[in-house]
Amino acid sequence: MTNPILDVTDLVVRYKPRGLFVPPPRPAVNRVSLGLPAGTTLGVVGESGSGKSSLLRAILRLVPVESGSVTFDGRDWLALRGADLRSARQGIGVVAQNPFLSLSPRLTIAQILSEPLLARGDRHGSDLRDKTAALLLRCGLPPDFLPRRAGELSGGQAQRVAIARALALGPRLLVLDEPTSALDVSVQAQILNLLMELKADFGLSMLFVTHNLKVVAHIADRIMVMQQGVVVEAGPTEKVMADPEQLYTRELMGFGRDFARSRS
Amino acid sequence: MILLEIKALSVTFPTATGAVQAVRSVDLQIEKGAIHGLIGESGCGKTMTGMALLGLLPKGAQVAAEVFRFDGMDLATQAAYLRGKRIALISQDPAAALNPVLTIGRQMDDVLRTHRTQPKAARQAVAVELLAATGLADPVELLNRYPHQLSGGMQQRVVIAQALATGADFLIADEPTTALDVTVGAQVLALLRKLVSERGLTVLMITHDMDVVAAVCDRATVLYAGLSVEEGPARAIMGRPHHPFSAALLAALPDAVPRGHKLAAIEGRIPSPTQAITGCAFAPRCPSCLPVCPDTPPPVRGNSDHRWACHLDKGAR
Amino acid sequence: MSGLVRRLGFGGAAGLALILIFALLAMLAPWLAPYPGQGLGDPNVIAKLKPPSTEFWLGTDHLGRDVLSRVIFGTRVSMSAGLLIVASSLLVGLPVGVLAGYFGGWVDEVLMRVTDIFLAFPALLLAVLLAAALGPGLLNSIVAVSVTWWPWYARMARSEVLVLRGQPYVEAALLMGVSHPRILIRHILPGAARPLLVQAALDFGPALLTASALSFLGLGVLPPTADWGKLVDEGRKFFPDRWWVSTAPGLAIFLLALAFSVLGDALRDAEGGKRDDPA
Repeated sequence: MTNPILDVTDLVVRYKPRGLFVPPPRPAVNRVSLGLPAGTTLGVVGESGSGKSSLLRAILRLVPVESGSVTFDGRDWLALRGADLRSARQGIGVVAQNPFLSLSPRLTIAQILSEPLLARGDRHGSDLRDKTAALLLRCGLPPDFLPRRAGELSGGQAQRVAIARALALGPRLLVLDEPTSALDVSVQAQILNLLMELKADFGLSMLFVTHNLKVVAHIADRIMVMQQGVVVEAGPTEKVMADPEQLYTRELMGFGRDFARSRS
Repeated sequence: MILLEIKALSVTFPTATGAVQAVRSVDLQIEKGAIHGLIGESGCGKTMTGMALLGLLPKGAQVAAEVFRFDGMDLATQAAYLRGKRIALISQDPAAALNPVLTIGRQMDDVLRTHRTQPKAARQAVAVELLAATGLADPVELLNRYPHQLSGGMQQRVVIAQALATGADFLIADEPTTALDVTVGAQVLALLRKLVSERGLTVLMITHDMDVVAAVCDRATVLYAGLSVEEGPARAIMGRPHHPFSAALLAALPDAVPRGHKLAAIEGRIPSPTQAITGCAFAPRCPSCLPVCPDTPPPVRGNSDHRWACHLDKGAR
Repeated sequence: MSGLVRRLGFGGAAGLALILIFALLAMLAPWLAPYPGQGLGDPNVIAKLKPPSTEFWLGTDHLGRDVLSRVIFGTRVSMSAGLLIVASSLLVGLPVGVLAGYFGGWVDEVLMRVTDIFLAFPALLLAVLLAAALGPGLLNSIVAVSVTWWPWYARMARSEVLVLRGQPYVEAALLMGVSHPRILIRHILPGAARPLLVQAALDFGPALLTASALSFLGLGVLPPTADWGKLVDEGRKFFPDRWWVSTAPGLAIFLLALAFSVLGDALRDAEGGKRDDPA
């Protein structure tokens, strides 16, 4: 049907041993493959040590890859260097877990939102101001937030700013690293609603990394479960949720209100 | 038997720009041997309520309550005495609760030594027994280990063992699973449940997570803006919440609607803790708000088992 | 004004006030000094070593010069020496540390090993040796002290940058395709510079003391110009019988060093609460 926008094959990430005589550690990511068709959302679920963050950081070229290949938008992603990499990165929008850490405390929201635009080569001026205001509005915040700083916002508002920034350059892929884990449930719902709207409006593809299976089951088309660096289960969301093959996946669904019903 | 009884607890911080009401009015009644959930979002006052019970509020806090009693003792004057004897805290971050440069054995012994007059060998036997009771394998070996050599789940078990070592029978667990992986958190909750039934403990489970409440709590209290808005059996609150805020909180969960459907987010923000509340605190965000709601304090409805504060006759929906 | 006092605390505000008074003295020396000519060094031998009086408030020195005028003119030399030492050390140390910390790898190795070489010598000893080698003179003594001073700033800047570089917002900028120079200017420098500026304020006192020490040892300013260190040295021969010659410049050194130290502490406290973490 459609070509995958992101294609990862047999990716291996291994960190350097911590000392001279320490044996090389087990790979953080061990021969992971995934394909993300354009316009769909893939949820990557795992606990600490599962390798989900290393996978994400490898795809973003923040940690070196030992072997394997990554193709993004038809290009050999791992071969890009220097200025090529810098401009290619603008095709991926990234939203991190804690907006208060990922937004500079010193800059105003207007400066934060214009940063990617300026990096692309836009000029200061009324055009830039209009663009930032439009981005902010699209993410549900009025323009009077522009002169404020991140420290003055609530968690939900700050995360909306982070999403607006990720969308600034019209990326084809949005990478989300636990985007709702630091938020209250009521705010999490707002952010998930916003992401679903944006996906529909812009035809965005999303890579959604989280430890929370219930969150990802709501938003992802496909789910991939990782444990200790390897993919233990992958498939369409409905299938994985209704009939998980792995005991581990069931454990991740874990306890909760369903559990309460079975307890009674 | 009711172990803990609180009526109209308030915690206020006077500041230059006006009083900050961290807790406005919280009611709690906890039976001995129960796990009682205290549910709310950030800024609802749930942690401050727990700190008030421990007598660990920051300087300058003003505490007031109509009833503030633990096992017949007045908490307003006895909180500091009860802390570490009858009441213990299990905090969110076990790594921060343990001293990184002391062995587990030393830290267990520090607690035991202050509470029991026993020879060292006997104390060590108790420490081993308590660590084993929290499901830690090879507790003798563990005594010589340092906290960083343990996983988060194991650290939290050590913290629980320490709480037991004080001889406390009432545990305040403040988000005890939030920093842990889902599967590990489930094990810690199962452990707490087991300790409650085996040792007759009572637990106040402070959490934002409905799943935690559903998994282990017998009863629960929902807090909103420093007010208790609903109290009842955990299963009833999860299954058929009566206060519109409790209902909205459950409806906002990602598995409340089919995949890809719009979630019922709660619009707006909680009132600022400096703001005075005249009517119902939830009125500005409530989907079923009546004309009377913003100005008149809501009546308490229901019965002694399950009650909520709302102007609606029949509760939410 | 009251806002400033609240942010700095009483001590910090008092320190700042004292610094401003000294700065005014330095700037307006020709108008404020009772005997500007003597302040610049003109001898007045008929009034040698007079004790403090209504005519000479702080007495006169061995060439009959008004000590008050000498101290007021010495403020210019001493303050600018302290300022130049701290500023030039920052100017070298900050970029070295920032580049080493940001780029890491061999850049870091090379820059930091050079820094370590300078740090391997006792600072005052190195300054004395350098000043002796360069020959006396104000500028030479400033250079000598700065050479021993900048490595500390380089170290400190590097460690600040290492923290900043790991901040998610710096990573976010990198992922948006923002160039390294822009990241350095926009995100790294402002974050690293603030604690360094606080440190610089704290260091002003020691810088002043070191410069004074060099002058005291005869390695600083050349007569007839005199900074406070030189003035103390000149009065030393007549101490304690003619105590006033050394006391006034010594007290001035003490007061200004203390003022900067108190202000630096207050700045650090004010800064400490709001570093880059949101907590």
